[in-house]
Amino acid sequence: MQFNSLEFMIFFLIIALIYYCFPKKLQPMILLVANIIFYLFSGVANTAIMLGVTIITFLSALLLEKTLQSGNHKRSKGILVAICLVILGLLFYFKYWNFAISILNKIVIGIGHQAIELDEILLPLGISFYILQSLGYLFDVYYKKSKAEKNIVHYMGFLTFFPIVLSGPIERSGNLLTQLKTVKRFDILSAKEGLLRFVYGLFLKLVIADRLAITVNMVFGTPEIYSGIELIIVSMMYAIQIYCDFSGYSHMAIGIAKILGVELRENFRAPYLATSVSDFWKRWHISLTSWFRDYLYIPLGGNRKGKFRKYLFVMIVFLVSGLWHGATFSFIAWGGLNGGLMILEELLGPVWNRICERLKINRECFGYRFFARLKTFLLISMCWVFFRIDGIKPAIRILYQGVSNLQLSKLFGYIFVGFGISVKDVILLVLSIGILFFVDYKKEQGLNLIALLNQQGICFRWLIYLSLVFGILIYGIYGTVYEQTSFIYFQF
Amino acid sequence: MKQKIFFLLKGLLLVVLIILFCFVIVMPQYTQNYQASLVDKVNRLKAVEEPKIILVGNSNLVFGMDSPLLEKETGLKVVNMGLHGGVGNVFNEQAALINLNPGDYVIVCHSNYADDDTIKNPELAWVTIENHLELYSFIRRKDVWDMAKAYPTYLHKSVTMWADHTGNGEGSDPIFRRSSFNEWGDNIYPREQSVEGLDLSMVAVSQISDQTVKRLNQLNKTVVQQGATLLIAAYPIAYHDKAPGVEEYQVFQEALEAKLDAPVISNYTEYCLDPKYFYNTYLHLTTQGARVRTQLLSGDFQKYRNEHGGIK
Repeated sequence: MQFNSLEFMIFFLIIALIYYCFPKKLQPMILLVANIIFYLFSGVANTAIMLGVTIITFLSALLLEKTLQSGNHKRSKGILVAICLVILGLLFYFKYWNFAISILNKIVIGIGHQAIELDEILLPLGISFYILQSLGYLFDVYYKKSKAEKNIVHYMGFLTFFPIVLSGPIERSGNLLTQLKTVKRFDILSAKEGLLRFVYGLFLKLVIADRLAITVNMVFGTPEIYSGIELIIVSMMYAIQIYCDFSGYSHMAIGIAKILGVELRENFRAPYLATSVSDFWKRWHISLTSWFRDYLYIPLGGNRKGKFRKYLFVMIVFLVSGLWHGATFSFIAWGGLNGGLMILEELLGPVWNRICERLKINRECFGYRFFARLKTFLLISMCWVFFRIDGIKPAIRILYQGVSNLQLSKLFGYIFVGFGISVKDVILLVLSIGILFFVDYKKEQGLNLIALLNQQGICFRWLIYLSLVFGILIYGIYGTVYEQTSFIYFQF
Repeated sequence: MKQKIFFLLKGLLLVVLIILFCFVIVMPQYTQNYQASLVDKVNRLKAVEEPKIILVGNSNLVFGMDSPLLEKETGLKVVNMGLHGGVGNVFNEQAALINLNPGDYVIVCHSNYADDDTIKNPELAWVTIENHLELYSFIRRKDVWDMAKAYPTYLHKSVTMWADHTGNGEGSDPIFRRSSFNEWGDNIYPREQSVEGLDLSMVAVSQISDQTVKRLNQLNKTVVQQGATLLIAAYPIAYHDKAPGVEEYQVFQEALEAKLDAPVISNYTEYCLDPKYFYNTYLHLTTQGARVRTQLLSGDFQKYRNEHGGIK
């Protein structure tokens, strides 16, 4: 059930009414039932798997805590490792089994044997997200950052929380589980903010992301017929598409949770205003990158074991992140490329610092920051090509074509004619993306736009609300005809 | 509490504004379209209070009837409620119940007796009914959810047309315009001969499903309770060398007669017509073909009436 579907809007309206109208002590149970009903739309078998993971990790955390309290650290470590193997084994089977078999088949065929048949395995929706969330919880219990939850209803509500179960943000028990244990009263300001974030997320998804997707799909479907400059522009369009798609989803999830009185963590912080690749990764999919930092990078050793090992761990984290996104070499390459760029930035950092000092370059001025942001955006857009295109070789071909067949002269005409976009669509996209960057820029400056809006008069506030709503109605891409109405991150 | 009520009222106001925008400002966008002919058909149906013949079915009626001729031969007013088969039997059958009076005859001319009891294309149904409230009775309670899900697709196309000022146009093909229908509901665009490359490969004998039978029997019960009569008649069949044999249609007819409570008044084999009578699809007739079919239907109807005591 997608957030931008009629079924979800009716479902949420009913749940919100029941949640606030029924006795408050029933809220955790109501939420749990809502979570299960929501997930049931993806299938009974998938729901059973999710509930299975929930029960296993619930019981394991209790056992882990009990063992830790008894002082048997070796045994508790063994329990943790065993549970991690079980949970990750489940993820491996659903997500990576066929990938592993296809790699094995290359070897098997190479030595003259028959290929092993691939199984038809359907990936349960959201499994990559809720498994990381459950592992994070177990690690927090092991490292004594959190106490093991003794109330199964609360814990199940935490792991299966419907606004985030399919595509995050990946929550920590310290934040979400704590909140789910307290009674929620209907708060108008929270509801207003939640609705506004939901509608803004819908705007990003339906007006920007899905509109860009039409062109991106068309061009990346037959990249060989386009010039280099067109491919570069479409790569940048894809960068904005995936940002609007994913952050749109996150805004909707955060908005829905807010209406229910729950504060989720922010998942994006104006990522395309980043001035370096490492800065970008502190702003993009924050819940995932912080998860990998806290539960993989730091336990491996982080930056405590010298520069070489630090770079090695960074590369491992990014390769694992790539693999987490999908069981293909192009996702791994995407991860590796980002990791490589981060390492290169750090290696070249001192050199660049010296150059700036010698040339007396003011790195705080608008011009420098603009250049740094543009450079970062172009590098990240280049990496996104591997994320989007199925296969490393096709992605490399596109990038090669991008630089070898530039045809810059096309910039002096109406370049979008090759994409089938009308002038009206271009104007709409420019305005919408302008709104996106304006909102991000203001947030970057520390301005709370929603609080600012609430301080304005009713006429101005309603002008904004109506502009958003009717903007989506008139310019949104919706309806069953459009395949891109699915969120990109649902496939993970 | 006051603040919460005020907040909910403001939310309701926003919803009302959205509904008003969609239903009053944007809709309708297909008023000159082929599907919009249903508005005229329903108006005629409601205007005729004396005993009448109501023809129900898909475009085999739209492009296959000469209703003035049928009126002349039977002495009864005729309303051709035939519409696009894309909306499905279920939608088209609702026409029978709009203004049903004692003495009326509802003649069902389906070409498919194995539907799944749903509106086949809810988006097309929205193009048909738009914001014409008098047409909303075509939607059964069980179809409401399918229609609700299809609304965003219809709305998106309509909003785009509204924003571009391209809606409510007649369309490039004159045959599929509202203005190509006469007051009886027949499409009277001149169809002198078959189009080039006419494809008749889809001619086949329909299956008969229990769902369709159950629904038609329920419809028959409702029609009879209101003092009217439901009759089942044949549709035009393009008979060519690769088409099913007449004996298959005989078997089909016998099965239909056995399962349906309503009388089957046609001999399907008589409706196996020369392909020269077909216009642009295997169900659409030329002007001459429509006359031939009308005469066949008229004969069937008269025979039934004579056997069952004349005009009621």
